[in-house]
Amino acid sequence: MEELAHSHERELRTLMTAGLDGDAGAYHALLERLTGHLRAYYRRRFALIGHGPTEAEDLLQEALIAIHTHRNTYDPSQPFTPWIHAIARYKFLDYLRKTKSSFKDMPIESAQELTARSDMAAVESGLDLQRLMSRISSKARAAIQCVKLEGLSVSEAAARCGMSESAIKVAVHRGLKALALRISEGRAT
Amino acid sequence: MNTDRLIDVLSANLEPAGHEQFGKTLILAMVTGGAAAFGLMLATVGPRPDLHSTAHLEWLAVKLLFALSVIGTGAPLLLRSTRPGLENATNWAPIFFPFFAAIAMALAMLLLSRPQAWRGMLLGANTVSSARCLVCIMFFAAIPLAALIWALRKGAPTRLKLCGAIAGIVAGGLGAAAYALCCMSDTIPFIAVWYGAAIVLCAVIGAQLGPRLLRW
Repeated sequence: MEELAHSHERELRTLMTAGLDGDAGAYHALLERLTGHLRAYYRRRFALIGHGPTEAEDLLQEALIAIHTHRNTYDPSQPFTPWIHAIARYKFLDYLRKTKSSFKDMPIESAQELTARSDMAAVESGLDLQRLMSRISSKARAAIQCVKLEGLSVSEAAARCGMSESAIKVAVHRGLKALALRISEGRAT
Repeated sequence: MNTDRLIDVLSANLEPAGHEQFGKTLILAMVTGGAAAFGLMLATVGPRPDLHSTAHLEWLAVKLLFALSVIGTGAPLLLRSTRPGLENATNWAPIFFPFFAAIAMALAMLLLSRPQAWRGMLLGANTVSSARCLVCIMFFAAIPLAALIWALRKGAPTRLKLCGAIAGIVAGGLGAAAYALCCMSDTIPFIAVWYGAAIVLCAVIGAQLGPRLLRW
């Protein structure tokens, strides 16, 4: 168990460090690995409060966006598992606050518990990306559409949208944050 | 939405991201907030007229030393509070050290003086000194607190009350540094009690604002 946690930590940290340097392949692999761990983590906790796998998948997606938009808060000189665990746990507690679920006896958990399990059985979440996209600013929508959905480079997207490259980068970042916010708002109402 | 699709979206055209940027943003917020507090002090009450005399410059140094030590211990903890995973690996106690040190010195000064002098030492130059100190420090701290919250919203604090409270302490320290230039009361007990109380009130306000404004 201890051994396993160490090897997870090493692998995930290597992928994260490469991802922070801009290695999209390593980052994709990292998010896939994290998805398995986060899904297992949230499903277990949602089962305890009587919520189903669809809600767990929604929160998993929100957590993935949060990890992505806050990836610059990870200091590569620090261990990775506690970072990802703190975000996963924060998002869960935030969900409880928003949905006003009571869950007084949240068990004390160690950071390694997060990477102890993995669950690859996806369910469709209740969220519709295109519908969520319609609720963010047109600038951010255009930037995400070009860079993230059609895979244009930042300079191509800048030319198409008539914006500067740095404006495109900012619009993508803000747009993703706004999307995460729309997801959580959609749940609260 | 399919989670695999989301992963594709997030990792498409990935931009490199460094963790140094956030520290710079936080320093920028402290510098601009501090400058604004100082400007606000000049525009409203103004520095005390006899600030240039040597005796008063010494007291100004003492007051600034307290304010700067509050900022100096608070700022690194503020940065740590925005980094997920450091919550349990951080010793938060140093945030109290400047206050403990000031109170210990104040008690020593009181014990060394006659009890008849205590009232003057605690209440300052005149009857409104203590109220003026509280109001001014909190007033000057408002802009630094807003600047810090703006910066912290770019981080990822997981304990929002704690993060807000530390932001309040650092902002209070900046407000106290600005107030030091117009403070008329030159005693250690006055500094320990009223500067301390004003900064603690800022911390309480920060702790209230944190859960509302720092969510992400």
